Amino acid sequence: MDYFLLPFRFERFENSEVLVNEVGDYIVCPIGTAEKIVGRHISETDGIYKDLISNYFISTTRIPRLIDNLATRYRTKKSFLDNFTSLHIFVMTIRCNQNCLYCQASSKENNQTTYDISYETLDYGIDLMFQSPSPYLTMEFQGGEPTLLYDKLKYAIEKSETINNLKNKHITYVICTNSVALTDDLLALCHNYNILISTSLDGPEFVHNKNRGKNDSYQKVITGIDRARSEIGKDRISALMTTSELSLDYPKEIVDSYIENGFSNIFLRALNPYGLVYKTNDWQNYYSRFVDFYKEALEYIIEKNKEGVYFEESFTVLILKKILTPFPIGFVDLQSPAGLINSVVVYNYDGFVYASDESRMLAEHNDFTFRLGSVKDKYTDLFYGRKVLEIANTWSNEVLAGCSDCAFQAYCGADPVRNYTTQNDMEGFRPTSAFCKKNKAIIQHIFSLIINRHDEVMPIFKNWIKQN
Amino acid sequence: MLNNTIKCLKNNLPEEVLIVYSADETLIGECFINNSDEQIEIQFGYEIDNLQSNSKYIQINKDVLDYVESGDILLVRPNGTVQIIFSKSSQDNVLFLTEQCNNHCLMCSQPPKRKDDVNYFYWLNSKLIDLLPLSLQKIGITGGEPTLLKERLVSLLSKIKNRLPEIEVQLLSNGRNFDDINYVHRISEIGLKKLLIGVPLHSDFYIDHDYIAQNNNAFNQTLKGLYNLARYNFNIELRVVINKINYYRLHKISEYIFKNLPFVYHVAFMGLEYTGLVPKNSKEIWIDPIDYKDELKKSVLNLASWGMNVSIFNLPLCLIDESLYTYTQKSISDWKIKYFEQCENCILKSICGGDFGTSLKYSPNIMPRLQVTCSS
Repeated sequence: MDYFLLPFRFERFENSEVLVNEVGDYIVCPIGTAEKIVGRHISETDGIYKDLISNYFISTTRIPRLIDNLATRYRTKKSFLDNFTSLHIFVMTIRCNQNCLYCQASSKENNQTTYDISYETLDYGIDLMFQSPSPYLTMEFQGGEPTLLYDKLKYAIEKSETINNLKNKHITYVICTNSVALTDDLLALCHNYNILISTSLDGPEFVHNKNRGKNDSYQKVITGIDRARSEIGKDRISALMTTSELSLDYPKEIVDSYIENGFSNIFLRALNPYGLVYKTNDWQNYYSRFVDFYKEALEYIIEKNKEGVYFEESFTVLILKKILTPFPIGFVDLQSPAGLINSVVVYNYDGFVYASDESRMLAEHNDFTFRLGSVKDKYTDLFYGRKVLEIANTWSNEVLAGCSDCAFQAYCGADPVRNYTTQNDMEGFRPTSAFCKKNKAIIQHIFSLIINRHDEVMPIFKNWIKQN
Repeated sequence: MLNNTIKCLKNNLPEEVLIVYSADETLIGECFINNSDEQIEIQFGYEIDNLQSNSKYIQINKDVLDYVESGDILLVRPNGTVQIIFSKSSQDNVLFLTEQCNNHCLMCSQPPKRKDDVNYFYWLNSKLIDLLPLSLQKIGITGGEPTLLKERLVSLLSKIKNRLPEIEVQLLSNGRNFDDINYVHRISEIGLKKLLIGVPLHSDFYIDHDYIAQNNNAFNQTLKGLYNLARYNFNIELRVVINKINYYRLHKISEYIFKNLPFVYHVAFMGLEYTGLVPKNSKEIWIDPIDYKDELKKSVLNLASWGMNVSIFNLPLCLIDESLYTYTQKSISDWKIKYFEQCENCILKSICGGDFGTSLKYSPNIMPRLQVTCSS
């Protein structure tokens, strides 16, 4: 049979083959189908022939006659690139009032002001932020604990507001805080500028406190969340969890604690190999346990939804949106070209600009590979400079060995910083990449839910997607 | 609309009819009913040279034109036939632009004709637009294929926009000519505020679509056209007429729509009207809606679960799954609706859109939902 192949990839698991085309549309079919397609053994009378044609897997002409439509779909999926950098992270300090076991940011003691951002750095950073072509800006304050620097927070926000009177961008402010010491002044600031609070909650009291290395952290965080909710509105506070090795044993308890505390979602987030935790763990083992943890927690969440509780797992929603919809997502860790620089940039307390949050964490270990330059440098030199050119060679999974032919390429992302950190070069090596293994296992698990338990899970999944 | 033709034969007029008219040209005018002398006057907005009478009025006795109401717009032909081309009280008024079409769909209810009628209909509709009441809320534009008028469609739409800037316009087109982005651009430039373009999609598989449309390039042109329309932010209504050739892929069509055409404003799944070309192609095309009940349910619920705006047209409630009742619309024009004898006892009759009175064949599965009574 005469037909032409369009780019598609496939993966075998659980007695089926999943074929995925260039824009992430998939077809589930019997094992051996990909081989038949490539060998031109599919005939017009095969049921799958029509599906392959209409979903852009094969074409009767060398260039499909609807290639412009396919291009539009591709452009749509990649439209997170349209506006360039939108997330601007300001690391205000790496001082902190907690002592988390897994701290990824190498926090310092509470009173060493040498680790604070200067007004000058803030000024330069804000100026660079406004040079971004994006009409949407998110200005995110991180640490350490950024609320320790109330005056500088206020200064940075007010300065941005003033400049924005001329620039007219849509700015969203986010403060990442552990919420243990939310002052009246800070909450008033949040109220005045509609600031979102992103906090950390690792689960039930014993897990959370153990992770924090404090006895009273959980109580303080919950009190902080409650206060923030009543002062600035329930929808203005979100929480992130980090899965410590201890957490791995308590998937249900962690989900329950989120539900009990009035959250409607959880982001099951694995540890990143940066900061304090770097080199202290057996990562392969950790990630394989994390996948089991994820599956168990997701199963429990699905049960909860079936009981009528609306509760979503945010990472799953991101993957689902990529698999099931024609729309893009704005999540920097699952992008290709990667989120770093294209979507996010970091102005660090040290006066330098970094390619991503993880990049500045590396710098704490005196590795400045992903330092783009000083905040005093010119915008074009920073964002279009040699360093960025170098990183750009490896920031697309389309061109990475092991990713370029992976069925899940359209659902995953590239991460040169992680490759560099864990595997010593930005290119990375997929067969031993724990990140690859983890993502593949999770995407595969989501696929098997969609395939094997379609009628049970799809209403829940679609409902999640619709809310996002 | 066309079926409302009222013939007043010039040579054989009933006594009570008075048509003071004998001209070479076809005339269009607004009609006024004068109750006192039981006469109808059709007033033209322009001078008519060849009228035998000195007046600009044509008089027709009311008894014959039972349907006519004040404010209707009539077409009077030289041979004496009078046709209502705009009915003031109707919600379904259309501008009929041509009987020609570049598709020849197997289930077309108004089979296209070859004759070049573009000049005539352009003239007619230009006049008609000038007479449309300023209070008019909405108007349809149909054919044949209206885009065959090319530039003259643009000029008719501009005329509508100038006279009735707030009007809701529903344009039915197979979408093929919108594959020319410049054409789409020009229509966009008119700036009609509320224009909905209804485009049929017969399948997600081009060979099926092309076969139904009887044209080898139909699918590709229509799909390009839809993307061009989307680029200019037009409101699009996709219309899937369900038939024996496409019903088995209905769920796949719905998935195709969500993946490839998520920008459409509305998706309508439509039952067949057993008229036009359908009787001739019955064997190939006709299917009892009861036989695609499950496919329809999956498809409608799939699109709805993605948050898409979806409806079912032209199918009586007894032929579809109960879970779909909220998606049905009374889509058949008032004068076409038919209910059956058995429908009289049906408790759903008041919310049911019925079937086409114009169909020549119906599903044998039309049956009433009866009141459930508790017997002691």
